[in-house]
Amino acid sequence: MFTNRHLKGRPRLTRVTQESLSTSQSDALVLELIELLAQHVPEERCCDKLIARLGESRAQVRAHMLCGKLKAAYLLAVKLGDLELIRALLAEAERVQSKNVAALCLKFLESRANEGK
Amino acid sequence: MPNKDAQQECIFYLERYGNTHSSLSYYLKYKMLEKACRHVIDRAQTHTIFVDYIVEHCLRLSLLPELKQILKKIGTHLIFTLFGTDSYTDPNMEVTKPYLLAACKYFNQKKAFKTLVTFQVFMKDYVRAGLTCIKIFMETLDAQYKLKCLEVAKGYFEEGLKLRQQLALKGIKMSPEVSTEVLHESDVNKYLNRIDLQHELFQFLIPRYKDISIEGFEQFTLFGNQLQRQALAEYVILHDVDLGMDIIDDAKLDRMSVLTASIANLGKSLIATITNKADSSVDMKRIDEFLNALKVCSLTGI
Repeated sequence: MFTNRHLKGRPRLTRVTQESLSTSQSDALVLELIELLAQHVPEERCCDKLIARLGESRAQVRAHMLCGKLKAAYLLAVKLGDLELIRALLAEAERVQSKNVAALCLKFLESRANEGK
Repeated sequence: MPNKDAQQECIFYLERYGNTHSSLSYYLKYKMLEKACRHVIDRAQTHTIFVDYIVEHCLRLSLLPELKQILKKIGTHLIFTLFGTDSYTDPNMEVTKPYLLAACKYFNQKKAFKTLVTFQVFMKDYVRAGLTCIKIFMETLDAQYKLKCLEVAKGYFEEGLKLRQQLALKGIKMSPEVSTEVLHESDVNKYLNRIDLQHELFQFLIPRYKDISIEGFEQFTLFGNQLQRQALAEYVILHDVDLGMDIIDDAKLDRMSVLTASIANLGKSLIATITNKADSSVDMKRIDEFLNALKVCSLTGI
């Protein structure tokens, strides 16, 4: 009779390996899925559920961008005050010709630039 | 068959004036296997002669069990004499073992793995016998027989470990010429774990094979190449995260690459369901379950 040491001796979900799945790794997986869904079934609302699963706000901004929700991405990026994200958003807005969001991004970047002077 | 007197005379002249070929040919022709073996071993003939004349003859005429018994009789096997002694000093073993190993090498080259196992077990070379069982496991197509091979391989590996412990307890160290140690103890343990995991994997996969569209997937095992292991991990982790993680650990796969591929597969199935392009029935709930399972792994440090 085959006796399995896995089942007998080693409790699952309790062993420790060298590294654990970090929030950024988990987010990377969810973003992968969101990108795939956004490409093929953009009209589906399932991406919203997935965005809610993202742990890091920056990942949420990226996810909104992937889903074409630039306004939501802008609001979150502004909240974070992340200029790099705003610049990425501006590029995306220009690419998809979303003039409103592009103008908002430019305005934000200019105001930040003025603050710095 | 010559009469006894004539035979004695023949042997007398062969031993005095014959060469190896004439002597061995005569002994084997007249079913004097032990005499043939003694002729080779006593005269310290090469292993090639032993294999070319005796092993091939025995293989052809199904006389390998007799050959083993004769070799056992000629050379006292290390293991039979070892216990109760403090050191290995048996000169007979030194003499017969290289011939046995040459026979094993020959069977291995011929891919006569089932015969090889019987010789390895005869030599109490259990770890190598376990490895040979894995080779048989790899070659066979029948799932039930594969399971049987795993079971037998596991038994041999465990026996091998037990034997090593017994030898270590007695402080016996084999000389390099006769040592059959092929794997370090930790490697044997790795094999044992992999066998357990493969067994569990089988239990999981056998009812699912008909639903998997990857060509040749039935033959993918943890003893196969990295591509096979990666494919196994990618499939399994979607259905059983624990088992999938174990495969990743065992095969030392890149976890993120497996997870990324798996999630992409899940995403494709979901798209197929949404667009009715296939009879896939993956829904958001299924994806939620998968992500939750990953989260559990993350929290518990897997």
